[in-house]
Parts: sequence; structure tokens; C-alpha cells
Amino acid sequence: MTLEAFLADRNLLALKTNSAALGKGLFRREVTIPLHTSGLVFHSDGNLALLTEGRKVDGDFEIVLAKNGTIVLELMFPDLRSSDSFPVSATVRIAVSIDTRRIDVFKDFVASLFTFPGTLSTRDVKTFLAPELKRVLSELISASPAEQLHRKDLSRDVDGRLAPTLERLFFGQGLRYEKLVDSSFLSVDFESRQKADAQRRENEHRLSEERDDKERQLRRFLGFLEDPQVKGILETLPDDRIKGLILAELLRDKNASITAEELIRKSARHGEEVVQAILESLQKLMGATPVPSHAQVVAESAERIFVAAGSTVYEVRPGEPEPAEHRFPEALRSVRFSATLLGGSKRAVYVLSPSGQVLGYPLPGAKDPRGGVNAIASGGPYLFATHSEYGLARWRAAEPGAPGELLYSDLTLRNKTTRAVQISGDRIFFATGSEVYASSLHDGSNPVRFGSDPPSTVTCLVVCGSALFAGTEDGSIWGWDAAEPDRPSLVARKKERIVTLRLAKIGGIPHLFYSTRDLAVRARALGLNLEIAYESGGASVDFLDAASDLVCASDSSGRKLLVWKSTAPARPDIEVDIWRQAGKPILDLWMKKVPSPTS
Amino acid sequence: MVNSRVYRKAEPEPVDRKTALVREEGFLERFTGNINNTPAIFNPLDGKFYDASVRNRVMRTLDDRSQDVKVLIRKHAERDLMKTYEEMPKNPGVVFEIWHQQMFANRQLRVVAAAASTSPTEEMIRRGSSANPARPEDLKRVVDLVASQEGVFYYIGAFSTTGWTEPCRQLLVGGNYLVALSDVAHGAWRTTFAPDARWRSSMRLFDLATDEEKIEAIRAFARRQTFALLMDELTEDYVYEELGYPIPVIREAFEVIASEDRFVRLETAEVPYRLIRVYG
Repeated sequence: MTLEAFLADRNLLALKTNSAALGKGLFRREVTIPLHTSGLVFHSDGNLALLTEGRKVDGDFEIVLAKNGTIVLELMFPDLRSSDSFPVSATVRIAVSIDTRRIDVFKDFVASLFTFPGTLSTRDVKTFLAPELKRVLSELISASPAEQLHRKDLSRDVDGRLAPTLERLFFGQGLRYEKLVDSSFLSVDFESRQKADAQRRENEHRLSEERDDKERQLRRFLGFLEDPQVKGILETLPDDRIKGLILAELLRDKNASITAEELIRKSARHGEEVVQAILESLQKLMGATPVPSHAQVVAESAERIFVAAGSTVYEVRPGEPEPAEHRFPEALRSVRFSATLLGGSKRAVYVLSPSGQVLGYPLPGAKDPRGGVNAIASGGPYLFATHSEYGLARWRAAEPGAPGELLYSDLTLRNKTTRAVQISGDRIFFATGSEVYASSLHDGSNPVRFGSDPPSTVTCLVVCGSALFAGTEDGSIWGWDAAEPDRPSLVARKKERIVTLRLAKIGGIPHLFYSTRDLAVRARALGLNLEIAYESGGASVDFLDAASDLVCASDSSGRKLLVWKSTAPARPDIEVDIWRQAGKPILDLWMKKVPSPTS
Repeated sequence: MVNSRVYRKAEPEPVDRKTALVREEGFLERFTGNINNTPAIFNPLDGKFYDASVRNRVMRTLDDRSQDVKVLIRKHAERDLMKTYEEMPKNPGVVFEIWHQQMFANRQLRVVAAAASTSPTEEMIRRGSSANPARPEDLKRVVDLVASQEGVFYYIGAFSTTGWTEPCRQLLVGGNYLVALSDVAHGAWRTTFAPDARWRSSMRLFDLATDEEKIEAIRAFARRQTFALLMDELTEDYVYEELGYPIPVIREAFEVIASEDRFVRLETAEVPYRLIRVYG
């Protein structure tokens, strides 16, 4: 071991060597004590000398060089036990120093801790310290329960016990205890127990709250029934069976809420009209969210699922293993089905004619947009598409190849987004920025504005008869009655942006489906504060579509198409790996629906 | 004039650790200083003086007894062990060996001058101070520690931070050693020598105070002896007995005191000389 190596190694505390190894000069061996060290020199005549840094020594001698200043030692004892028998891991960091101030004490250090040649390291000192330190910590820990130890600052207690013990231990050994730097105690088992207890308490609290909520709900509904106005509304119901059902639901046990499953069961027994009537009556009682009428939301079955990935649309038929493929001239951003298959790309809308020919409807101008057509709708003789960088475009379906005409540019150009064109009846709906507009399909008159408060960019839209719903980037779902554009009502508020909105009738009840890149597709029973979660099994979901019998969605990575039976939300019924075939992610999907036979 | 002292000697005052440590260090320092100022030391065994310069001198420190102090501290002290140790006298010693080489012969150890301190360690650890003077066995321990070789003559200065008991004064002479007993009396260094012709000039090794210090110590002592002065008993013998200084130095000090104070006169009509109080 050279002197330089000793000085450079922070783990080495002392070095024993001799003049032959250190000395310079041909005839006279002279050594200068390095900075920040002290030397105990054993001369050949038996004399001793204590030399501080910078002093010189010559002749024949042995020398022990020790580093001055404090060193911090960290010792960990993982196998201690608290008074309540939890394993506790204790870590202490203590500052110690070699006492080189007095020759007799320095001599003690050499005699007791450094009887061997070579070097003395922090490890040697730790080995010397460990048994006594463990004894002290063991006494401390075994006297306290884990709760008083786990992640607690016990520095004062530890120091109070360590200081006298280490002082006694170090006395006559040439070491000095400076201070306790810090100490920590960790009991993994206790922490697990604590977490489990907290979880149990939280569950109990939640159950208690739920119970309280139900009781409050019951009292509220019973209060409603006593209200003369409510009594009057109930009297307006056309059928005594409906009244009976409502009363039965409200008074049944302690639970006054109507669950989706119960309603599905009742619908099977009494027919959807009855259930719908109940819901509409309840909606009037609650007086909040707009609900499309029973006639406006029809029960539909999914016949095909179209999935856009790259320049191909995959046609998935329920019950058939392999999807059919439809190729388009360029990569598609959106897909729809309206009598025929429609695809939206960066700069055009394509229509797959029944003869298999692909007809292109280009957007006007020579822009090179970054995004693509996000929604397509066909109504009357027209095709409509929304594109955030163009706005709302319209083509005559009979004139493929002709550039589209941009509508309402004064509204769309001032916003960064234009999305979700839809046609309902003879009206066209689209969203631009934070507003939704509705206009006549034919006359192009001033559009009606549907605004929300606070405004947030609309990401998706669904229209059904008199009800209109819009999802926003701030995670809100707003609902309007089409006849009252100035009265938005907040249907739901989520933390994440709403990606897709769809309406479908499940078990006779209109459900508003939405996705928020959550681990499930959520379906909210309109008019009731009830929600069904179609669990993906661990993947976050992105685009979705829903019919009365099936619900489908793509996962956020765009690799898989997940398909649930509407009555089995616990897990997807089918998973189709689109990526395996396309090598591209899913960018949109759409269901071709046909009226359900029971509708 | 008859010496008719009727008052009792004052009890020795307890000496605390720090005072003992200061005394101990002062003793060794003064002894080492004396050695450094000594050109040659007489060896009564062969009747020769030996050169005591650095060239022929080897110094060894005796700190083995500090281990005993540590053991006792560990045994009796509960806390502040290091602080106690730092305050404690360590019973150290220092040995100067005078070697001499004759023509065609090996270097030989001829004479040794050594000094060692002793203190009532256990009592000082337990109570912080002690008034117990050192006993003959303490002195014997010091002598045995130093005088280990036959054929070598030893001059041994034994110092006790709390003084010596009277029997110790009977143990100062051996076949190959002489002992000088040192302590601090009335705040001044005091050394007692056995009357022995072998001392020759080596007494100076253990003379710990300069003449000026001695005179000052006698003045300070005399100031405190009011009763003895009133009773005409502040004699040179009395001062010698208490401080151990040579009579000529005591007389010189008496003259200084008498010249400074018009109410004090030095009576030299008969021996022993004494200081007496005068009125008017």
C-alpha cells in the first residue's frame, strides 16, 4: 500500500508502515506527515513521538499514520424485534474520529485496534463497534412497540443510549464518539399491517357512507312521495303498473335506488315501454339530465365492426374468426358506415361503392395538413366531413373527385378543432372549439349554438332525437335538450378527456357510453345515477362503439379490438389482434347496426 | 531565644485533579529543564563525572502507569470518562540514561537521572480531589520502576501531588540510588534530600525552583504566618522545615521582608535567625 493510495481511499483510516517504505533520499530517510493526518512514530531506540501534519521525521522508524477529522459510519441491523414481535430493521449513522491529540491515547488506538501491519479500514471499525451497537439498539427496540419505532425519529433516545455506551467502549481504544448523525427504524411487516388496517378502515368507512347515502336516499324518496306535487306527477302516469313499480322500487327494503340489473329484469317481465316510462317519470322527478325519448333510441344489434388501421379497414363479423379487409388509397384517420363504407384520410374522404370501387372526395386547396378527417356523415345528396385544419366540408355524393366546399368557415377557422360531424333527422351537428352547432341540412341557415360553462374544447359528440351530448377535453360530459341550447346540464365530470361518446339501448334503458383512456368503457344509464363498467382486463381503452348486444373498443395502444357482450361487462368476450394483421394501430372504429328484432 | 511553638500545623488541603495534573506536568518540565542545564553527572559507584550532553543521553518516558489510571476510571466513572482522564494526573515519569563509551569497549550505561510522579489516583477519580499524602509503598513503586540494573547509579526524583507521609523520608537512600522527595508546600516547590555525601552536585537536578522563586515563596509564606510572627517564632528553621529551602536563601528572603516592612525586623543576634514584630 503506497502512501498516495492510502490517502486517496476514503475507506482507509490508518496505515502502518516504516521508514524504508516511505523515506526519500539516498542516505537520509525523511518523511513529511501528509495533510490531514497525524503520525505516531516508533523510533528504533524505543522512543515515541506524535507528529502533526507538515512535520518531518527521519531516521529508522515505524510509523502509524491516522487520518484526522470525523468519519461517518453506517451500520444496519436488520434482525431486531420490537416489544410486539415485529421484525425491525435499524440503521444508524454515527460520526467517530481517531483521537490523535494525545500521544498516550493515540498509542491506545494502535495497541488495541491496529495490532496488525497494513491498513485499518472503516470496516474494521464497524466490526469493532457492531456488537455493542447492536446490544444498545436491541435494548431500545425490544422495549418499544413497532408503532413507536416504525419511521419515527428517535435520534434523541438513540443518542442518549449510544453516547455513554460508546464513550465507555471507545475509552482506552483511541477512538472518540462525536455524534449520532441519524437513525432510522423500519418494520416492513408493521407497515404492511398498517396498510391493511387502513384499507379495512377505509372500506368500513366507505360501507358506512354508502349505507348512510342509501338511508338518505330512501328518506328523500319517501319525502318525495309525501310531496303533493310528486303525488300529482305520479297520478299523471298512464298505467297503475308503472306507479306500482316505482313505489315498489322506492319502498323496497332499505335500498331505494334502482339498479341496472333490476331494471333489465323488470324490462324482461313488463316490457321496455313500462321501464322507459318509469325512467322518464323518474327523470321528471329528478329534473336534470336530458333523456332521449324511448322512441328516439332504438335497440340495435351490431352486424359488423369496421376498424381503420393504416390504409385498411378491417371488417369484423361477430362469430367469424378472420376479419375481411378493405383497402383504401391512403392511411385513414376515421371510418363510418352509412349505406356504404366511408373512410376519412388526411386530405380526402373515400367511399367504397357497392361495386368495390373506391371514390375519392378531396378537400379543397393544397394544404399539407398534419391531421386527418375525424368524422364523416352522409345525409341526403351530401357527404359531410370534419377536419380540424379545414373545418366542416361538404361534397355532393354524386360528384366524386370534385373538391369539397367548406361550410361555416367563419365559425371553424377561429378554432383549432372541428370535430364530430353527425346528422340526426334533417339537422347536421358539428363541434368546433368549445361549442356545438346545429344547422338545417338543406337551407344552411344560421346554426344554433350549444355552449357549456366553463367552456372546454369538445372532443366528441352524440346526437339522438331531442338529446345532444358532448364530451370535452377537461373531462366533462354536457347534455342539452335540442330545443334548449342555452341550458346545458352536466351529465358527468371525469379527470381525463372524453375520447368517444355513443348512445345505445341496453336492457331497454338508453345508456350513454364513454371512454376516458380508463381501464373500462363506461355506460351511464341516462336519467339515473347508475353506471356500468365494461372492464378491459388491464388495458386502457380509447375509441368505442356500442349497440344493444355488443360493445366494442380499441385499447389505447391501438393493437387490439375488444368486444363485450352488453350483458357481460366483467371481461371482453373477444379480443382481436389487429396489429398482428395491419402492423398499424387502430385509429377509429365504427359499428354497422341493424334494428334489433325485439325492438 | 527558646523555640516554644504551641500552635498546630495546618491540615493539608485537598488537591483536585486539575491542580494535580498541573503540578505533575510542572515537575517533569522543571526536572527536564535541570537535566538540560547539567553538563555532567557524578557516579558515586566509580567516583567519576559523566558527560550528560545530548550525545550521551537517552531519554525515555514512562507512561505505563496511565493504563492503571484508565482501568480505574473505567471501574469507577459512570460518564465523561475521557474528560475525567484528561483532567487526571497520569503518574508519568521520565528517565535520562547517561551512556559512556570507553576506548575499545561497548557503550555502557553508567548513571541514570529519573523523575516520576505519583498521585492518589483512585480517590481523585471517585471524589475529584484528595489530601492523602503518598505512602512508603508509593515511593517504593517509583524506585522499583526506575532502579532496575545493578552497576548503574540512579538519582531519582519522586514527586507526589499531595505530599509525602513522614515515613517516606526514611527511605531515600539505597545501595545504588538516592531519592529526592518533591512536593508542593504552601504553593511552592519543595524538595527533601536524604543527607548523603553521594549527592555532590546532583542535588541541583531536583531543585525545582529558582532562588527568586524561593524568595518569593518565602515572602508569601511569611505573609500568611501572622501568629508565628507575633509569637517571634518565624525562624529560619521553621521556614526550612516547611519549605525545605537552603538557610542562606531563607536569610536573604528574611532580609528582603525586613527591608520592605518597617514593622518587621530581622533578629540575627542568635541562631536561628528570626523575623520579629516591632511596634512604633
